[in-house]
Order: sequence, then structure tokens, then C-alpha cells
Amino acid sequence: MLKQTNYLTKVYGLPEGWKLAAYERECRGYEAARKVLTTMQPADVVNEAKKANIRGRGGAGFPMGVKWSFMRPHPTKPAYLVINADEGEPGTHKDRTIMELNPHAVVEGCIIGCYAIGAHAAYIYVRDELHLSKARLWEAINEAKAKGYLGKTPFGKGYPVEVYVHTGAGAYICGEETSLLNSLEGKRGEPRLKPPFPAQAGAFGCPTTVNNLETIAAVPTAFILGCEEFSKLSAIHNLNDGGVRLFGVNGHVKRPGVYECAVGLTLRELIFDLGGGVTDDKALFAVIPGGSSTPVLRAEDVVNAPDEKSPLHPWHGKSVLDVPMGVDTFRNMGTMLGTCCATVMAEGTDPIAAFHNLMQFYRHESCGQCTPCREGSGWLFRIAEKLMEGTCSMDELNSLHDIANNIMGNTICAFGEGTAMPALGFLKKFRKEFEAYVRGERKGTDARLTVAPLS
Amino acid sequence: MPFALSPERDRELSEILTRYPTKMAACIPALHLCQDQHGWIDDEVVDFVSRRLDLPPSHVKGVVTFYTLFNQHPVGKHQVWVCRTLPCALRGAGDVLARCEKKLGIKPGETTPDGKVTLRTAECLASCGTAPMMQVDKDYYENLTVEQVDAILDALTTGKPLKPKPPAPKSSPLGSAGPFGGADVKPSSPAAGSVKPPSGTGSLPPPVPPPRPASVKPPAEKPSSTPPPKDEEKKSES
Repeated sequence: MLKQTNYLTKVYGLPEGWKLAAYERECRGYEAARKVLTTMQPADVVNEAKKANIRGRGGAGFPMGVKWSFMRPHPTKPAYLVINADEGEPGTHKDRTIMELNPHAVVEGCIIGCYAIGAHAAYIYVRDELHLSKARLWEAINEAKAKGYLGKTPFGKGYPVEVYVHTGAGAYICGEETSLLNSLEGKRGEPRLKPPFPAQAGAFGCPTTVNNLETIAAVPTAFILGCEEFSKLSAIHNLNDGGVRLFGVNGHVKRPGVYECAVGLTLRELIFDLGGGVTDDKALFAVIPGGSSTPVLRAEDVVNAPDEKSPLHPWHGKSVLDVPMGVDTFRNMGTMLGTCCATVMAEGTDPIAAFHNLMQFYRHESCGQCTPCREGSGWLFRIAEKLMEGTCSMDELNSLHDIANNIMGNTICAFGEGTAMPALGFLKKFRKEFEAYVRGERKGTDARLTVAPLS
Repeated sequence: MPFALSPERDRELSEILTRYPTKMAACIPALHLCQDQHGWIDDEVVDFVSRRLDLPPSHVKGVVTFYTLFNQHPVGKHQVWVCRTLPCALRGAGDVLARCEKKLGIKPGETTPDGKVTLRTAECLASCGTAPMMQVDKDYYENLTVEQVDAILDALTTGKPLKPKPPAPKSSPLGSAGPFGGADVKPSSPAAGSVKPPSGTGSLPPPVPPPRPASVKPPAEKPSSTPPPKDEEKKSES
């Protein structure tokens, strides 16, 4: 259901919309943090936050309030809030807009988050390439500090909160939460085994909550509206998927960009109503719904959910484009909502070239810690190369399944799944095209990814 | 002579150290500061960081070799990163890269013979809604056309400033919350906004005025009239 909102995006595009003055004027800035710190107990904040049904917006979709409730005060160790702004998933471009255009929402979210989980410091881990984002966040932190919203006594309350921006140095894997923590500690960004989970032993060995940047930026809005009201904005509130979020659309659409809408938007609305339709009015070919790690959907796919208990049952037999974009609905569809930024491919796009492009990405970004992923991602890419060169045999094509399945579940972190799932997704949806390459009916030299050459 | 940070950068590092409970946590920010000053990370830099932060050199070296952005070899004065990942590729990243290769006469990973430009490919730079894009040093250039690629590269190789392009028309048929993808999401360069990047973000002073993102309207904002908090100068993102 298309319902555009502008809670977070009201200041986008305003002159100096990223400054404190605009945030306070347009978004009732820092009202929520003031209310929370001066009138509520931390435990009540967590309970209230649970009602907002904010599903983690980094990809996994874990309920934010529940994650906060895992934090237990430690007798000797401090607690930390860490914000994941290492936006690097191909196709994902939402967090950057928040950092550049509404950084105060992040800072305010950090104040509320710190208070709720008992932390006195928040680290925002921003990828190093985003220089403007970092500068805007620091500016927001300094503005908030000057106003007395941050620091030793935020809003006059003796609960010190500090927010820092920390950067990585160009590693996709550092978007994985434990890898991010290692990187924050000044180590190689290799993921850690879980358990212990960050809530027990996270940053610097202390209890830590890691939230995605968009997740934390949604918190002030939720507390301004009242968390239950916020949740009810969603069309699939009943599936515990609440509120509003940023939807990105990119690739072959007329108006790529980021749009704030109530949860429950469909892919069709995102692509055709918000994105303006497919470039050059071509037919829609395929969509990667939420970042490259989510399995691809073909335009003609229909939902198969005959079981009445399935959350997808109401859409049984309908096009996948008409299913509300939610964490559980998309998971049941055999794909994932991921980061909610869809990559659109028009008719004529070569799926094998797209597969090759993505496998090159995973080959490059595997951190190398676990053998199945380090070697497997290389093998997947090598076979993709052979496909493009026209030297791939049917046996090698079939071995793609084996390789991907042997990565899945056999690695420390979810990068393994993130590599295997899109590989298996492409194989499942484009088997005919893969075979055409093996038989020499299609060639890598003819493969096109663009609709038209760049002018 | 062994490597050492300039007094200004060293003060910045001391400030960075106050943010973390351990010295090790400042390892990546310290390496960024060193690279800003030195251009790349050689063994002397590793040695300096290990002494400054009381870490084994092997640890620092391990960090350097893990992260893509730490240069383990000398690089050109300017670094051009062309995003090659799928969302950009769907909108012409291949053409952007081919144009760069042709115009500079080098392949990705190479530096022009005059040492001015290093060309590289990058994996997704979170600019998919404004693809194709490239990053030049610390600035993003988005919604690229062939003409803009030429203009940017010319500015880098000749030292002439870039002419700003008029902003793209704003289309917002869906109300006030309309799209802010495409051109609306700008400015994308620290130089184009009113934000003064914290000291230490800028590397050696560029020989040319920093080119403005070609698709960004000239900055209308004036620098903040209120004086920044005293410690802002010392804040570093890195």
C-alpha cells in the first residue's frame, strides 16, 4: 500500500536542512530524547520501543526492541551502543542520505538508545569513503553538545552520553556486526564466533548493542508519535513489522532514489509509482529486492503459499510484485527484504553478466577467514568467468550448486550465505540462460547490462 | 629519517585516543592520519604507529593488509575510483571505466606516467540511486555522463577547475516527500556543503582548487555564522 511519509525526510532538500535549527523546527527535534531522559526509566524505554515493531533495517530484520532487551547491566563493565553505518551492500543507498541530510535524527536516536540500554558512549561506524556523511555527523554531534543535549548532563540529567564517529578503511565485511566490532577495536575486520553475542561481550569485551543507522534514526520518530502509533502506520503491522522506513530503488528505473514510505509498500509501487517505471518503458525483467545478497525475483514470478498458516497466504497466486515488502513476507517468498533497496533490471539485461558482476564483488570482499567462503567465492567467480568466456562445461555449471551449498551454513558469519544465496537464486531463476551460455547459444561478448550506452 | 606525524596531526591523534578505552582502537584512525600525510603506508609508518600505540608491528601490518583503502604502494596525486558493482554497471559504469582508461591511457590499478592520477575500480560506494558514479580523492561525482567524466579527468590532469553544471530539474510529482534520489540528494562533496571537514580529512593541499562535483549546483550556503565549538577543529572522523 503506497503511503508516502516524511518524518525523517522532511528536512531533505531544505537549505541547511542538516542543521540543528531545521531539525528542531521541522522534525520536533530532540523532543523525544528530552521526554525519554527526563520522564522515563530505561526499562520503560525498552518496553515502549518494543511496541514500535521496528525491524532492524540493516538486512537481518531482527526486532530492535527485543535486541535492546538483551542488554543486562554488568557489575564492572560499561555498555556500548554501536551504530552500523558501513553501508556497502550493492544496491543500498539509504543510510547515506540520512547521514548527509538528517544527521540529527541519528544523534537523537543514539541518545535514546544509550539511555535505554545503559550505555554512556555510542560509536557510529561509518565507512571511510563517505567523507561528507562523517563531516555532517560530527557537525551534528557538536551542535547537540553545544546545546546541552549531549555530554555530561544531557537535558540537565546526570546521565552522561557521548557520541563518536569511527571509520573503517574500505571493507564490506565490516558491515557484519562482530567484524565491525573487531574493526572498532583496531583489529582486522574478521567476524567473531557467536556466542558470545555482542550483548554479552561486544565492543572491548563489554555488553554492546549494534543497531543499523536507519534503525536508530527511526527511534525519535517512534517516540514522538508514540511507539504503538508509529507501528500502526505500517500496512503489515499485524506481522510485527511496523512503522515507516526508507525504500530505495535503483538500476533501470526512470527516477532512482530513496523514498520514505510506510512499511508494506509493494515492489510494483516502488518501481512504477515511485521509481517512475522501467527505463525507456521497457518490460520489467527481474528485481533484486534488497541488496545484492537477497535472491533475485523474476517479474513473472507468482506467490506459492497454499498453506493457510503462511503469512504469505493472502497473496497466494498473485504476482510477487504485489506482496507488501516486509521482513517475514519476503523471507517466506524465498528471498529476503534485506536493506529494502531494490535493484531493477529491464528486459534485455543479461542475467549471466549480472551474476558475473556480483560474484566478482563477493570474491573481492570475502575476508578470507573461513575456507568455504574464501575458496568458494573464488570458485564461483572463476566459473562465472568461464561462462562469460564461453568455456564453461555443463559439469562446471552444475558444480555451482555444490559450491554454493557447501558455503551455506559452513562459515563464521552470514557473508557465506550472502554469497551463496544470490548465486543459488540466479541459478534457480535463470537456469535456461545459464545453459544457453554453456551450449554457446549466448556469448559473453554480446552480454549487456545497460539499457543504452552512456551518453 | 624515521616517519613521524606532523605536530598538528599528532595532536589530533592524541584527541582521538581519548575517545576509546584502549589504544588499539585508534589504530585505523592513526593509519588514516599517516596516509593523509605520507600518501601510503610503508614499513616506517607501520613502525611509527606500532610505537605510538604500543602495538606489535605485526598487528599494525595485519590491519594495513586487511583494508582496501590503505595503500601499500605509492599512488598518484589523485585517486579515481570508478564503482563497478551491479547497480552502477546497470547504468553505465562500464562505459565510465572505459572512458577513464582511454582518456588516461592506463588500466585500473595503474598510475599515469606523470604520477598525477591512479585509476581504480571500487566495489559499491553506496551511491546506487545516483549511478553511475566515481570518487575522486574524497569527493563523490554522481549521475555521470561521458561529458562530465571528460571534464573531471581534464580538471585533474590539467589543473583547471571544473565548471559547475546547472542542477538537474527537480521532479516531485508525489508531493512534498517526493523523490530525493538523483540530483536531489546532493551536495555530495564535503567541499560543496557548508561543513568544514574536520582537520585531517584533507590530505596534502591540492595543487588545484578542489573541483566541484559536476552535477552539483554551486553551493549557496555560506559558512556557518556561529563559531564552531572550540574542539571541533580537533575532531576527526578518522
